[in-house]
Order: sequence, then structure tokens, then C-alpha cells
Amino acid sequence: MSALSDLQRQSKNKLQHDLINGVKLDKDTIDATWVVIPMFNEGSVIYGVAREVLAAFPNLVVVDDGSTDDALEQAARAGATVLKHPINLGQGAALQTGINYALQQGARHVVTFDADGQHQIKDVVAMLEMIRQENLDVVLGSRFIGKTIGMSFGRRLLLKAAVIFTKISTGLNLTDAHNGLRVFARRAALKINIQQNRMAHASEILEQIAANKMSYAEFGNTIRYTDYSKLKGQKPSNAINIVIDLMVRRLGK
Amino acid sequence: MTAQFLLTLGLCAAWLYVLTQPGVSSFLKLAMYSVIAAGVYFVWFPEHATYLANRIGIGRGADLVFYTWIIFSLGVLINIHIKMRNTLALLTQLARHTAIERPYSIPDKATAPDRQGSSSQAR
Repeated sequence: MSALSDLQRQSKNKLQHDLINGVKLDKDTIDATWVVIPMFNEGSVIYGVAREVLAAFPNLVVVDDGSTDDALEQAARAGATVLKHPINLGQGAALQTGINYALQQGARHVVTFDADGQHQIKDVVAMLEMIRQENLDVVLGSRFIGKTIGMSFGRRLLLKAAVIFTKISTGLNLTDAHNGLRVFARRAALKINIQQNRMAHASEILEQIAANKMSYAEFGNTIRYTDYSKLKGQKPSNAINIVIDLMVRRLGK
Repeated sequence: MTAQFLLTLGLCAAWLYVLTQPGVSSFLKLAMYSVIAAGVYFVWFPEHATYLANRIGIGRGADLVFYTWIIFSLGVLINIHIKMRNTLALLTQLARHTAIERPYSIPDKATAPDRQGSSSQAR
């Protein structure tokens, strides 16, 4: 039996009996959940992140966005389903590829999760419980309701500006507009159609949530900033690119 | 006179280029032909460009040609941008289709090493 199958078998039986942060998920929910991780050159961390996810959820699809390091092999070795973009298209494109794949596999819930180890599995479990209990379309992570470890003042300021921009452009009342941790019900994931290949996809997803009048709630998750994630994360100057991307797209409509 | 012949030749070449481009909308072709025709006319009758410039409040004919050229270039730029965006959308669809249809699997030879060993190499 391969390492992949062992891990999948373990995870299938694990969570329905275990309590994570006081939350218990049934086997059906776990089996019908797909976690989507977009990645680009995350060879040094993806193995650990994928193993952590697979220990809780058997269905993990990692979308490699044309990495030039060994991220592809590491993700596959960890036991994830790995899809490969032949060229680098951007995180938004990779996310949509993963969502499409998950839906094709019959996912009832689709989780988007970052590749750099910022997110916590216990938050995913709690968000899944929330989306089920409250019959929501989407649950969005919020680091400002939850907590952050190691976030710089500059980033906090930038993210707060993004919240104001989102309020103006979509009307959504959020506390965190650029959190990569999200849980979609299938009916909502089917309506998500990311056209912004690059980083503006986070705002585009929120626009689509507003446009489709999806029911949503925020969940306070924990974001753990490490030196690695800070290095890989968005630069403040990207905020300008995001706004330009969104405006150009809007003009093109 | 030599310059006028050279400029006319250049504009004729531009005309041929537009003529042979597939998939360009009739409106855009008409706009390009008009600009080229106006260019040829003003090359041979520059005083008419100055007359026209004076009528619309621009001092010199050369300035009128220059401003028109800027506007025309901006139009071309927007057209190229839209084309590039459409091409990227198609490319994304193609890449997505390929990725979903053929998930990656580790080649047999590469399955042996354990992550513990390989991780130290990767880092």
C-alpha cells in the first residue's frame, strides 16, 4: 500500500471521531470536502502543508502554477492530487483550476487554502461546521476577527485599505478582504468564475459573492506570518496593480 | 520632394499591411484607411494641414498631425490590449483543460526517496 493510500485511509477515519477545537465533523462532510491549494515555487514548504491537510481531509488538490522548483514532486509525494499549469498564469487562474477540478469530483464543499503554511486546519474544520450549521453559501476567513502572528504594521494598514475599497466597490461589510482561507458550498462554488488570473482575484471573488447575492459570514481565523510567508506574500506595490487590474476589467465589460 | 516620396511609400506599405490583416473589424479598417489617406494628402499638401489646424484652433499643421497621431496610437494600444487579454483568456482555458485532464503523477524512478532526505536538499 502506498503512502498516499495509508494517509487517505487514516484521514477518512480520523476526524469523525476527533474533536478539533471542540468541533466535530461527520465522515460524510469530510469525504465531500475538497481543499484547493494554488502554488508557485513552494517546494520548501508544500510537502509539510499538504501532509497537514491530508491528515484531516482526504481530498486535496494542489494546482502547480508553472513552478520551476521541485514543488510539483513534493506535493505529489505528500499524497495530494496535483494539477499542473504548463506555464505560470497566476494565483487566480490556479485557484479556478482547482475549484473546477473539485467540482468535477463532486465536492459538496470547496476550501481554498494557502500553500505557504499561513492557515490552520482547525479553522477549516470550524468554518465547515459554520457553513453547514447556518446553511451559508460562503464562509470567509478574517484575520481581524481572529488573530495574526507576526503581521507588520504596513501590511495591517494595507489590508484595512482593501476592506474600505471592498466596501465601496461591492457593498460587502467585511473585516478582511484578502484572506485566502474560504469555504464555499457547492452551489456557490459553481457560480465563481475567476477571470483575474493574478492577485486581483481576491477582490473579484468578493464582487461575485455580492453580484450573486450569496449568503456569507466571516470566521475569525489565525494567520501565522513566518519569514517565509512574508517573503512570498504580496508586496505593498501590488495593491496598485490590483486596483488597475480591476479597473481595466471593469472597463472591458 | 524625396521626403514626400519616402513618406508616401511608407504610408502605402501601411495600407498594404492593413489590407492583409485577417480578423480586423471593418470599422477599424476604415479608420486606419482614413488616417493613412489623410496622411498621404497632408504629405503632399502641408499647407492644407496648417489651414485646417488654424480653423480648429491649433497653431501649426505639424501639431495637428502630431496630436492626431497620438490619439490614433492610443486607439491601437487599446486594441492590442484587448486582443492580448482575449488571447490570455484562451490560453488560461487551454492550460486549465490540460491540467484537469492530465493530473500529475510521480514518475516511477522518483518515488523511492523519502521526503526527510529530500527536504534537506530542497532547503
